[in-house]
Amino acid sequence: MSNNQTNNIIEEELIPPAEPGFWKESWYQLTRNRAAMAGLIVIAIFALLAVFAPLAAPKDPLEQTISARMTAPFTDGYILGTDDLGRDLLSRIIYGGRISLIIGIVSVGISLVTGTILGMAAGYFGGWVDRIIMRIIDIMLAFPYILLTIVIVAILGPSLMNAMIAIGISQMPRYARVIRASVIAEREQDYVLAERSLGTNNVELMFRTILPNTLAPTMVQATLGVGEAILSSAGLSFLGLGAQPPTPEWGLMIASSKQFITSAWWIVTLPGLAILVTVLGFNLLGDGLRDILDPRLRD
Amino acid sequence: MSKVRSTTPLLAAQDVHKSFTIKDDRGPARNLKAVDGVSVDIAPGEVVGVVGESGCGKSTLGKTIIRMYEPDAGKLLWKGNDMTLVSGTDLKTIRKDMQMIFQDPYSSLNPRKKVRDIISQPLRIHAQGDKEEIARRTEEVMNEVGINPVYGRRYPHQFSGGQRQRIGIARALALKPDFVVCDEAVSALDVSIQAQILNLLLDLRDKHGFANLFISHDLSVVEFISQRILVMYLGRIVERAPKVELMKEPLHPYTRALLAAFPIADPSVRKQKKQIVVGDVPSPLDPPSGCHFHPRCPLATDRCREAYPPLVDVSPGRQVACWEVSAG
Amino acid sequence: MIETTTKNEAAVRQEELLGIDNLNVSFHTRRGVVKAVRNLRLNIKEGETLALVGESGCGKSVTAHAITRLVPMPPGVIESGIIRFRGTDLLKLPDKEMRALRGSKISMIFQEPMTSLNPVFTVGSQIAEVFITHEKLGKKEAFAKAVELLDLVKIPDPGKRALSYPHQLSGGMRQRVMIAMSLASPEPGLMIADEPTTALDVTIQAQILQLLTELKARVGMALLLITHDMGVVAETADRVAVMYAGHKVEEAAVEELFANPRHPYTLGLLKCQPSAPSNRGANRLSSIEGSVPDLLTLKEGCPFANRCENVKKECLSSFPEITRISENHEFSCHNPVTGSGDPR
Repeated sequence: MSNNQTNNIIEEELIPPAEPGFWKESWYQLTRNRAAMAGLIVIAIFALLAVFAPLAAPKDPLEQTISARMTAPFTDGYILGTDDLGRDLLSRIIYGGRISLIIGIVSVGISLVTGTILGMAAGYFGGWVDRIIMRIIDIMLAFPYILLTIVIVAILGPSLMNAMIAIGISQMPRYARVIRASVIAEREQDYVLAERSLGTNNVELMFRTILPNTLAPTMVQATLGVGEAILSSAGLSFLGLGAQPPTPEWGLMIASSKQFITSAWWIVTLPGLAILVTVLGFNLLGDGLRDILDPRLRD
Repeated sequence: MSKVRSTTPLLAAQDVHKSFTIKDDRGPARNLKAVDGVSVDIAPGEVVGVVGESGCGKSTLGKTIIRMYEPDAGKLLWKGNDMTLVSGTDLKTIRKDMQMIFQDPYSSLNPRKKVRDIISQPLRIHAQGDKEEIARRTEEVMNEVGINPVYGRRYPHQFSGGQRQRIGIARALALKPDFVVCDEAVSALDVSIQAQILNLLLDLRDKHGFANLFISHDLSVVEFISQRILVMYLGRIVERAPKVELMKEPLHPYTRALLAAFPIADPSVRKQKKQIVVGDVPSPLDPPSGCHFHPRCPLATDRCREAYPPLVDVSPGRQVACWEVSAG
Repeated sequence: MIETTTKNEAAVRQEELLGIDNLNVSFHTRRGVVKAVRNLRLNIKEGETLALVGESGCGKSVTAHAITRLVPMPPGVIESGIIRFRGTDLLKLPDKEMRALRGSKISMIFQEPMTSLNPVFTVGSQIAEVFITHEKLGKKEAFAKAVELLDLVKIPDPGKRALSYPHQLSGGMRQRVMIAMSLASPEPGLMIADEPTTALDVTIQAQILQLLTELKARVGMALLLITHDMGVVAETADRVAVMYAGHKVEEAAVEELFANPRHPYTLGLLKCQPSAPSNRGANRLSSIEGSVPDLLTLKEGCPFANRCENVKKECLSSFPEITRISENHEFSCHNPVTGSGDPR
C-alpha cells in the first residue's frame, strides 16, 4: 500500500465534504425555527432603525412644539402622536431604540468580558482560584438583581452610563458561571491535553484553545442578556436612576408620562410596546439558539 | 531488578507512582492509586506494548511517563537525565522529543481549528523555522500520513475517524520526536481502518526510528506491533517479557486468563476447553489486599492474600510478579 | 475459581423463528435519504445463534431495531419488507401486541446497559417489573423470581444484589442484569444482543459470552448477535451474515465462512484481524484500502467497489444477485474470491 495510492483514495473521499460546517448547520436549523426567525426579524428591524435613526426619524426627538402637544396618533402628520411637550413620539421611540441598542451592547459587553475572564480563570485553574471566584459570584447572586443594580447606581450616581455599568456588573455572574461550566467540560478533553503537552502556555490554552469551544452557551446567554439589559435599564430609568430627561429612553418615557394613561394613552403605552416587542424578539432568538446549540452539543 | 543494557535507555521510568483524589458529593475524598510503582526502560527505536483491562493504569502510565501528568513519586530519566527535576523552558525543550497519539479521533483534535493549524501548532510553539518552513514541514508530514495537504484548510469534523487519526499522527510526528506514546490509538476505529493505521505507524517507525510505547486493551494488536510486552493489573506490572515468549508461554495467572479470554477468530478451535477466569475486574479505588489478583486467581494461597509479590527475573528479559510462579 | 466451557452442543432446530424478506429501511435526513438497510433477506432458526457482522454504517444495528420496531420514525422509514416471527408479520402488528412481544418473546440487550436500566429503581425491582407486567404476578413473588434469575446469570449473592441500584454495579454485572431481564419470559424465542460486550473488558466479555451460550442451550432461545468482532463470531455463532453499507454481502455457516470466504470484503475483513494466521509473523497487516463510503452519496452498483481488489466494470453499475453455492452459503458478488483454500 503505497502512499500515493492512499493519497488518491483519500482525495476521492474528501470530495465533497460530508457535513457542512457548524455555523452553516446551525444557521440552517435556525431558519427552521419560526419563533426564532420572528425574533431575528424584529431584532434586525430594531437594529436598522437604531443605526439609521437620523434618517428614519421624521423629526428631532428633543424638539418641542408646544402647540402640538398631546396630539393623537395619525393626526396632523404625527404618525404616533406627540407627548405632553409636543415632541414627536415616533422619533423619540426610534431614538430610544438607538439608546437601547447601546445599552444592550455596553451592558452585555461589560458582563461578557468580566464574566469570561473570571469564569475562565475559575474553570481553568480550579483549586483556591475557583473557590474564591465562585464565592464572589455566589455573593453577587444572593442579592436580588434589581437591588444590586440600584445599589451600584446609587453609589455611582444616577445616569444612563452608570445604569449600563450597574447592569453589566450585575449580570456578570451568569456569564462567569456559564463559561466556567463550559471550561470545566472542555478542560479534560484530549485535544486540550494534547495542546498542553506540546508546550502551549496557559494564556494561549485558555483563550485560543478552550474559549472558542465555549461559544455556544455564551451566545445564548448574551442574546437573552441584551433583552434583560434593555428591560433593566427601563426599570432603572422608571425609578429615576438611569437615563435623565430629556433623553428619549423608553423606560424614562413611561415614567414621565404615567399620569396621562387615561387622557393620552399613547404617550405611555407606545414606549412600553416598544420595550415589549424588542425584548420579546431577543428572548425568542435566544431560546431558538439554545434549542439548536444545546442538543447539538450533546452529539 | 538488574538490567544489563549496552546503550543508555532513551526513557527510564523508575518506581513511578501516580494517584488521583476522587471527590464526589457522596463521601469523603478517596484515593485512586492509578500507577503503583512501575519501572520500565525503553531503548531507542524500541516498541514496547502495554496491555491490561480497565483500571490497570496503562493510560495513566503513558501520560505520566511523558510528564503530561506529574508523577507523585519516582524518577523519569530521559537520555540519562532526571526529567522530574526539569521545568520551564528546559522541559519544553525535552517535550519536543516526546509526543502522544490519543484514542478518540473525535475529541483529540480541536474542533475549532483548521487541520493544518492543528498539525503546525507544535512547530510554531517550538519555533521551528519561519512561516514558510513551517508550512513546508506541515505539508511534508501530511503527505507522510496520507492526507493531501490541500485539505489542510478543512476542519476535523469534515474527515472520517481514520483520517482524523492520521491527522493526530501527523501532529505527533511534526517535530520528529524520538519517542511516541500511542494511547489506545486504534481502539476507536473499525477493524479495516485499524489495520491501515497500524501499518502506517509501522511504516513511519521504520522510516524515522522513533521508540514507541503502545498502549491498548486489545491483546492481538499489542501482540502484532510490539517487541516487548508489559502486562498491567491495577496499577502494577504483573509480567514483562519479549512478545514471542509471552504469547507462547505466559507465566502469570492473569496473563494466562487474558490470553484465554481473548476471542480467537477461528471457529475450529472452539471445541477446545477454555478456562475462563471468574469475578469482576476490581476497582482501583479499593484494590484487594496482597496480590491484587488473588480473588480471581486459581493458584492463590495465604501468602498471596497477605503480601504483594515483587517483580522477579525468571529468565533474561522476563519478569513475573507472582509468589507461585517465582517459587516453582 | 475457574470454569470450563465446551461448545454449545444443543441441537439447532430447523423451524424458522424469524424470517426477514426484502427489508428496506431508510432515514430521511435533511441532507438526503440514507438507505441504511437494503433488500435484506435473512432468517434465524429456532435455537440457533446468528451473528450479524460488519463495520460502522453497515446497517446491522438498524436491522436489529427494525425487528423490535424501535427505529425512530421519523426520520426512519421502513420502505418495504416483511419480518415474520413464528409466522406473524411484526411490521403489521398493532403497537399494543408488539409491546407485549417485546420483552417477552423478543428481547434485546444493548451495548451500554447503563442507558437501558432505570437509575432510580433497584435492579431487582426492574426485573420483577417484567413478571408483574407480563405474567401478572404479585410483587413478592415477582421479586423472588427476579432473585432466581440473578442467580441464573451467575451474579454472586443475588439476594443482596437485587437491592442494588444500577450505578452500584460494574459493567459486566449490569449486562448480566439485562440478560436476566430478557430471560424473564417463560418461553423466550429470540434474544437480540447488539454489541453486548464491546464496552466490557475482555475477561468479562468471555464470561458474558459463555453465559449467553449456556443460557441459550438451557432455555432454548435463539440469539441474534450483532458485533464487529470476528473473534466473538468465531466463538459463539452457528451462522454468520456479513453486511456492508446496508447490504448483506455474504452468509454462511461459521466454519464455512472462515474457511471459504467468497466475498472480497469478507476475505479482507478476516485477513486484517491482527490475530489472523495470515498475519502471523508478518511485517505488515493485510488491510482493505479506503474507508466505508458515505451512505448519502452512494451511487448505483456495489458499495464495496471503490475498495475492492476484484472490482470489474459491472460492479459499478449493478448490485450483484445472490449466488448460492450450497444450502448454507450464499454471497452477492460479480467477481468473487475463488475458493482456493483456507485463507487462514
